[in-house]
Amino acid sequence: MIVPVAVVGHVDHGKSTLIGRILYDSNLIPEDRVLELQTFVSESRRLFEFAYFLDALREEIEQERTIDTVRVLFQSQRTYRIADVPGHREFVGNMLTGASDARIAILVLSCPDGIQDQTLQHLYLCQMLGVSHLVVALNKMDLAAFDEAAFEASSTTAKETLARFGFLDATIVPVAATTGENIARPGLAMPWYSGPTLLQALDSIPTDPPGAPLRFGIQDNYRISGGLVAVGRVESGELRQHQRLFFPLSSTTVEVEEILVFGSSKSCAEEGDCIGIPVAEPLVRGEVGGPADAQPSVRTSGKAQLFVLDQTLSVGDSFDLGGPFGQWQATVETIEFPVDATNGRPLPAPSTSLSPHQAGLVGFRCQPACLEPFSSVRSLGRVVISKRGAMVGFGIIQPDAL
Amino acid sequence: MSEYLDDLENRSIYVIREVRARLGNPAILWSMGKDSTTLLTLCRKAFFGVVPFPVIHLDTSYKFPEMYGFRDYWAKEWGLNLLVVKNEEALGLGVGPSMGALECCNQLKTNALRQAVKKFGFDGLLLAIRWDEHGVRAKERFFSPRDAGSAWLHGEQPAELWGRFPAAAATDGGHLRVHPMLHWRELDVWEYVRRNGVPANPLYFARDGKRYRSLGCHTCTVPVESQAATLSEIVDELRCTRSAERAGRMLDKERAFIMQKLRSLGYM
Repeated sequence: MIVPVAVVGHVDHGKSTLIGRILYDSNLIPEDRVLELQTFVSESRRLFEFAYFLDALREEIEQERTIDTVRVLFQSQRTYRIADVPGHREFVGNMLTGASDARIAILVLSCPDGIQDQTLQHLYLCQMLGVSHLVVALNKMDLAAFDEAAFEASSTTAKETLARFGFLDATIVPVAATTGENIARPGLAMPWYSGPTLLQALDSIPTDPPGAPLRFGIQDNYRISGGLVAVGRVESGELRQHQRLFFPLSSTTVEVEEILVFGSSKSCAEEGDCIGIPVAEPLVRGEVGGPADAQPSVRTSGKAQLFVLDQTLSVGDSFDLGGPFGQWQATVETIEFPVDATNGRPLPAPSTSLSPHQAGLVGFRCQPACLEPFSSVRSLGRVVISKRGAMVGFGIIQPDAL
Repeated sequence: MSEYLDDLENRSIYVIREVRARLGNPAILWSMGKDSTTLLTLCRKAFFGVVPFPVIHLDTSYKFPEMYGFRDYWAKEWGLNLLVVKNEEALGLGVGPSMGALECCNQLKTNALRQAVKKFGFDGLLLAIRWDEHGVRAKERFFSPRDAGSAWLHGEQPAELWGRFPAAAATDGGHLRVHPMLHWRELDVWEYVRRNGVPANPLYFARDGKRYRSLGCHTCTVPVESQAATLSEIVDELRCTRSAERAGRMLDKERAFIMQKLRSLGYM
């Protein structure tokens, strides 16, 4: 399996350099790419930088910063897909695109510079996006003379901050991305450090155990030669042939006679599988089925922890609440616990609106929607909110008791 | 490995089915290469054996003879609604590779596509590009809106969370580019081709110590040194190689920013 990893952190703390170094040390940079960059570096009279492996867009090299998300794969004990995300405040949309499906994040933190505003913003967003494990690359140890005391001081502060965002078990690894210490190989310059390298720390993070109940979401209905088929995806749990599925939105019960994929049928479908089931009548796009004794919920109200991107969201506003398949009309009823998401600090409450880059707990009413708390079913607890097709923000559905 | 390929396939099928559910008049681009032939295979899988969208071939008239034969055979076999699209006006004016790769590609591919989108009123295009093909393509989204001029405003792309996109239909003559295979690697494609029996053009297999790794026009594509004459040998070769997939494509050799320039104009 590919494990998605987000690389986050303040601008200039060395995210792109770290990724360039990982790729280079894993022999993943094609030779002609290395040659192209060497030519570029000598023609433009610059020092060679590992970050250039990622900076394919011309203006990025010109401005020397990452403007968009870059994704690359590398192999250690597992295969990882890493997303390099920009540290600049204005590019937060791209940061989210890169980090959104990651359960693991590498926080790049410069040892000499310490925690900055975007460090806090990215930690806040990682918490919101449901990143469950964090590894800290305490970078630029070369500029801190590879000093143990500097590392200890920085990691003590870092641990306090991480705890505020709920990351209690983060491993902190002292690294130097420019020289490669403690990334793919142990750092000879830091004999006092006996912990894992960055890649070892990643490899030791356990895969999250499944445990959510069966949820099968409906994407569409097709008429094929054998009859009518409702297609969808298993969002969690396991679907078995002959199982009885209850769809509370349309109050339909379906006996799953067959689990269809083109050219064959399966006896069982797992989380992530896109399959079809024969039906007598079309099911509703966006509705979700599950076992009768652990039914999916249908809600007409709820609370979501929402982050607002580049518009304002006010009490009384109408918006579209998007799940994995389709969306539902909704209205903002309340806004509680507003936060400045650029640094995670609370804003004065009560609040009647959230401005760009603010977040808060938003109470809403909606059309009957198949959404569940993020803590119960991750995929059905994630919502994207939009107005007239333009994305306004995103968030996660909170448990109803809150 | 099988589980890994299934995961890639599932993610692609989800995106392909979203296109059917959300767009009114989408089309697929097919170059007869390994990626877009795999995309057609994924579409057939998503829709239980049929491809419900028109399939566009951008014919520069400089393609390899083997590609035309391959196209006609599989279009018939799979019952495709094939649209062969040419920029007749530019071809009439003698536009060709001698004018330079940038101008030639822009006229015979990008502009030909732009004309077809306008003529048939397509609101979406499915393309088989991948993040790992080129640094610039690594910046793409699964769902990428284009304006009426097909331009790619990469700096203003909407965020894309969890592979979802808000439902905004294209406005003012623009269209949505959809990239269901963005997350595949070159090696993944070949493993999938081998496992699923996806037809592969004979040009990909080594003859006399050379094979094509990426197929463009015969005028601007050169074969790479290789002994890989079977699917398994190609997979083994790619597991060890350190040279870039598009090394044989002259367009890419003219530096990354040419690719960026072309793509901002609407190239694939």
